[in-house]
Amino acid sequence: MNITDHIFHFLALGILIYSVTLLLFYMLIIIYSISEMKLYFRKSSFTDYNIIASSEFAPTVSILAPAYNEEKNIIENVRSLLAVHYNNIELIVINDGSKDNSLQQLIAAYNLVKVPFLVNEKIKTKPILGIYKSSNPVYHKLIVIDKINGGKADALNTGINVATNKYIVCIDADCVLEQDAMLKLIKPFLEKTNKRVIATGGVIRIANSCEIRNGKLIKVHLPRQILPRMQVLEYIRAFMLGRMAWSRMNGLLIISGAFGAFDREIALKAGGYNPETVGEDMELIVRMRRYMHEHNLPYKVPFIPDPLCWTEAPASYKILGRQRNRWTRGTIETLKIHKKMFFNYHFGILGILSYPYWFFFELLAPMIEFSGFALLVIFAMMGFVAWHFFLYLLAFILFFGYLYSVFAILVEVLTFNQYKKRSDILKLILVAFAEPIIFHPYVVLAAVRGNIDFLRKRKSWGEMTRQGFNSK
Amino acid sequence: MLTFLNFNLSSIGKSINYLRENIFTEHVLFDITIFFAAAIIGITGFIFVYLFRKEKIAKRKNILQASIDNFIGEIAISESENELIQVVSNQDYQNLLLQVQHSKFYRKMLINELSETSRKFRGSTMTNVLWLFKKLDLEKQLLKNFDKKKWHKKAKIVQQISYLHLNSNIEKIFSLTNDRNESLRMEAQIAIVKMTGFDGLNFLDNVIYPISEWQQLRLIEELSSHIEPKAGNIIEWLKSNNLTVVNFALRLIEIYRQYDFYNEVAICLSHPSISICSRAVITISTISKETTADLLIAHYDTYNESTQITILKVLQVIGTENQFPFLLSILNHHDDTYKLQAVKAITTISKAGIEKIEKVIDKSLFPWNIILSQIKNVA
Repeated sequence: MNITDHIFHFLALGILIYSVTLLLFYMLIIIYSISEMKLYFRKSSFTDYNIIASSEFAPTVSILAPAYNEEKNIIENVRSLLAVHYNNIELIVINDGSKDNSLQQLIAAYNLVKVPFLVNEKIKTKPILGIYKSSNPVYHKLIVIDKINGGKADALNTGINVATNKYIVCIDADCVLEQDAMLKLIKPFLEKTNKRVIATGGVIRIANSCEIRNGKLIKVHLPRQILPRMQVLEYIRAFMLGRMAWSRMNGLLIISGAFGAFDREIALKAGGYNPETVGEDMELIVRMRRYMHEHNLPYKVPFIPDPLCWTEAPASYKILGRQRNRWTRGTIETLKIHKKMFFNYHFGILGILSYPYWFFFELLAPMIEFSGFALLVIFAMMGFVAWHFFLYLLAFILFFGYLYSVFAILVEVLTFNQYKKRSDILKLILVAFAEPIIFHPYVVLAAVRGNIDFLRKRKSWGEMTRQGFNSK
Repeated sequence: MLTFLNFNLSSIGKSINYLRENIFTEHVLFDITIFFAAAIIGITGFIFVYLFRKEKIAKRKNILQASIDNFIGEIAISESENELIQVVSNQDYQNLLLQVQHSKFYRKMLINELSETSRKFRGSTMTNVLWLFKKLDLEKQLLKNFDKKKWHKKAKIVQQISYLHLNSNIEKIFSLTNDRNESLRMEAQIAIVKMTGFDGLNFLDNVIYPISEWQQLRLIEELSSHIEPKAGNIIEWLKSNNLTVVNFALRLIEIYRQYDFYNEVAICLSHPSISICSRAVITISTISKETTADLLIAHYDTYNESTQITILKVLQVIGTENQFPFLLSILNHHDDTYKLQAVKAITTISKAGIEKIEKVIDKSLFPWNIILSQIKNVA
């Protein structure tokens, strides 16, 4: 064997071992998610969530909704949030220096007036231009903050400073909540007695093509466009399998920024959101967890499998690329900030399993996939490729991916079954087969670009143009 | 160097070849891929069979549901036993009852519907439902193999027993109030309170497991439908080693304004657990005496930030001008939240309070300008 042969075989086996380890992780995820889901459903079968809906003894919650250029949906979304089925709430909308008419629309729709309001700036943020409350008592729960643009993390930190309640729920202003979302999200905080629940999150679903009326989800439809449809499957896999399994192991590293609840005291002690990263949602969870570990405080970050929040997914490759680029940079930044935890047993499951998993199989995966493919082409051109071995390897990986997707669809059907028509399920299965060809390569490419942008120290968020919901 | 490199590369090469030829062979990869493909086909088939069956069952359930709803509806509005017997003797319902007798599915559904009706209604509706339940001897069916059932099924049955007020099972349920399984234990605690009211709280005497906030809310909700509050062993609960029992006892005193336990609550202000102290601050403010505000101020320095803020909020309600010196001293606190709460307390206690504040601060400076405008705006 010459050196080229050695390199080729080394790479081939490296990819194989990497793939097998990843597959073993996926199997572990499947086993853990099933067990967690089973427990959740058994408990839920005799749970009445309505107890805390109107109870004066229910914990107080501040909902923080940062808004940047959201004029298309802002009125409807605020109405939806005000109508949420939970009594002890205050809704804080943070207008993060929008260039459009978001603030003017809010002022007009909700009779807002500027009020003097002391903000205890426990976390340093960009200046506040004004705080507004409604002159109409119907909207007494609403507070609108107008501030200089500082990004999502800065807007949320402003909200945390202004919030007065024990728990904060951070939500994207363009999200539509299920009626009982708040009840389900708050319950885990009240359940644990031996460990403090510091944060929790629920399943995010894709709202494209769904019918939304007065800020409420009326009817669920599978997205008509192909990209959002692919993301439906992707979200089912990520939330129903991935996050449930990590929740079971108490190793969850991320609560989606679209809808998550936090213990305000711990969020403040951990220093709030980091405005220096574009992955502020993941970074906060990792920092809060790190804070608890470093202070030897028992804690938990549970996850709820119920679909609680519906959001619009990117429908064009351009917007999707920006989103995935940002997610990649956010992951790199978070893992870099907390590199101390890498294989560090002092951080328990977080250091031993969660962090390494994210490093090897979330952060490096696109790079390995991309470079593996590139090398394959190079070796092919040089005539060193044992094609049959690579084809077997490719089929092995591809079919496991299909199996994982089909299994995720099965879990969806057996649990929440949001898409009632049998034809929709068939479409989802077909999507699973098309995904590796028309969706996955683009996502990998966007992630690779994210790595390059990170190295070039690009910090931009990337504009997310919304199409607006299918309101009737 | 080159010899060393060549040696290493050649040993790596040998290892790789060994793995490829003996473990990750093309044959193995092919077999596993075929297995994956078969599993995909199997799961896909299962999904569609499941959906088809689910739809079929849902249709059957809907038809049955309508029939059961009509039946229970007529039972619910019956005004005498004769009328009840007439409804049961109706030929249509006789067919339904025959099916209930022979099918587990029908029986389970009828039990579920009856317990739900009993949960939602009281008075004659509930009495009629219970009459039917006994007439059809469904209690025996409900409790069949109870001890052998899994925890979630047991918990559901415990819930149904309480909805149907099958009080002969109280002892059995009481023994579950200290069960190792959290969900079962919680349902048993709720059931016992539902069936026996405040007397049911006796489980607090011996419960060794913590009672979560969620469970406390449920118990409070359940107790709200029982008119006559009873103190039970509340003094013992306040001394319990189980901190959640102490917390719950304090809540009961707060909600039912149990002034007789003022001294016991005052002792809790010095409890080693800060969460109990915090709860005791709120509780004592609801059963306060003239001396309570000073008592809280005496403990103020020993507490953490959130409990101190709670005291400042409580003083807005129970404070008098006697506490002004303390409150004015808080205006020097470095944290603006303390300042705001102190100003709120002073201005709520007395209209003259604002003048006293303005004597010790410069109202044109931050944060006083904002705090005073905010207070005036709210007023």
